Amino acid sequence: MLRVSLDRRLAFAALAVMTGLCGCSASQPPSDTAPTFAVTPFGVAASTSGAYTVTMYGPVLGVAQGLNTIEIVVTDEQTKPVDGLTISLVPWMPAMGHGTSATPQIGPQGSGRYVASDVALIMPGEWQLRAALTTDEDAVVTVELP
Amino acid sequence: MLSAPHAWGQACCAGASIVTPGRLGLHDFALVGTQLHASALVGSFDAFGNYAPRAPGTVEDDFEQDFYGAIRVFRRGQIALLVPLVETIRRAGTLTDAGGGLGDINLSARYDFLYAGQSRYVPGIGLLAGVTFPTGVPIESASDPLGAGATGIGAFQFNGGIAFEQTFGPWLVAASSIIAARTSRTVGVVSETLSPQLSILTTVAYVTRREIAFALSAAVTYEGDATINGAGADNSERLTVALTGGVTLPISDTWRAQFGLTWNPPLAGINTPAGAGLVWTLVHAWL
Repeated sequence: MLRVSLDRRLAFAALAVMTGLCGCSASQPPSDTAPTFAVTPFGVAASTSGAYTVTMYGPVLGVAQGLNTIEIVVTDEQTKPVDGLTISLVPWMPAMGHGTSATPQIGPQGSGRYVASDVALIMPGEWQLRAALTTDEDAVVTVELP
Repeated sequence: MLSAPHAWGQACCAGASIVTPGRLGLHDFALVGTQLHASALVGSFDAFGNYAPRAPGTVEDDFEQDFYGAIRVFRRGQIALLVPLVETIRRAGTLTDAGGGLGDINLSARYDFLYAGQSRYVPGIGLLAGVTFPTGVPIESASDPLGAGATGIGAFQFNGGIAFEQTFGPWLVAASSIIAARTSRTVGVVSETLSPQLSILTTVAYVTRREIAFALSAAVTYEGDATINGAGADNSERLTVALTGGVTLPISDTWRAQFGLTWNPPLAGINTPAGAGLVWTLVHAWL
């Protein structure tokens, strides 16, 4: 299984933030054993106070309608990975005023990485992925589904 | 023989039924009816008004059976109750879900100060009001992962509006404006209030000598950005355009049937799905 190192991912994330490019791209071959994620994040957001940066990576073929598995990378102000968080993720559609019936399951992977499965994006349109990192810190990443 | 007053009611029922779904004709005392909807999602508009066809491998088919009744409460007033059953089939990737059940029940009222055609120069004027109760299942409470079991919005909706209509021989022209307010919803850490929604509906109908009415309607609905956790949610405004063509067939003095086609043209919209569908209505009225 090919995996890109966290440092390389963070470099891509920083590049994406600087250039405003937050689309998905496919650059890794699919794996039969574990989910692999696109090299380029589909979204980056600072937490409420700016203490954390949340970077989200979608599947290699991109975030799509249906159940998705995504990777969430959390770093602090010194861009160091942050482990030990109990993250909850709420997919929300602001224009429609609703969330989803499925509750994302999130598991820590180490090195600041967390994998969220059952991220149900059930219809086309703009979705917010609202990640609660702590009681006071959350971050909102937006993704548009055609 | 052409019955103009009867035709007014039919033409308006064919189009202006957002707040008053089962509208009584001028000489009707009460009615009961059912309206069957079937529609398919064909595309959607994003937050910037760009249209995209439905993604490959995805399906959304929506069905609804409305059962309603209306009764005259004053000489010029009427109240109506609508009970919907809602079903959805949704497919995305390898998942296919289907679900449904009781939707959001609507209670509405209409008072006509002046009927169309009563004055040559002043159109008919009616006041509309309604409330929709969150009796359906909101999407977060659906039991399937794709939310096909959702049948309601999970909030109260209050409507108020004004309607104008006038007849010109066999033609009827109607326009109504409705504003809707939804109560806030809190789901987990998210508390959202949708912006008030403004709908403008225009209808042109033609009634033949055999009392067959043909109606074309255009509805434009707009709402501004929503508010989430006290802050404005950028790019959450919505614009929906819907066109409806329908025909009303009088079966007898007390029975009538309507057939219609609905379509969201891929020309204008913001943050809204676009679909096409069929509507079939059967109404029994008591004079």
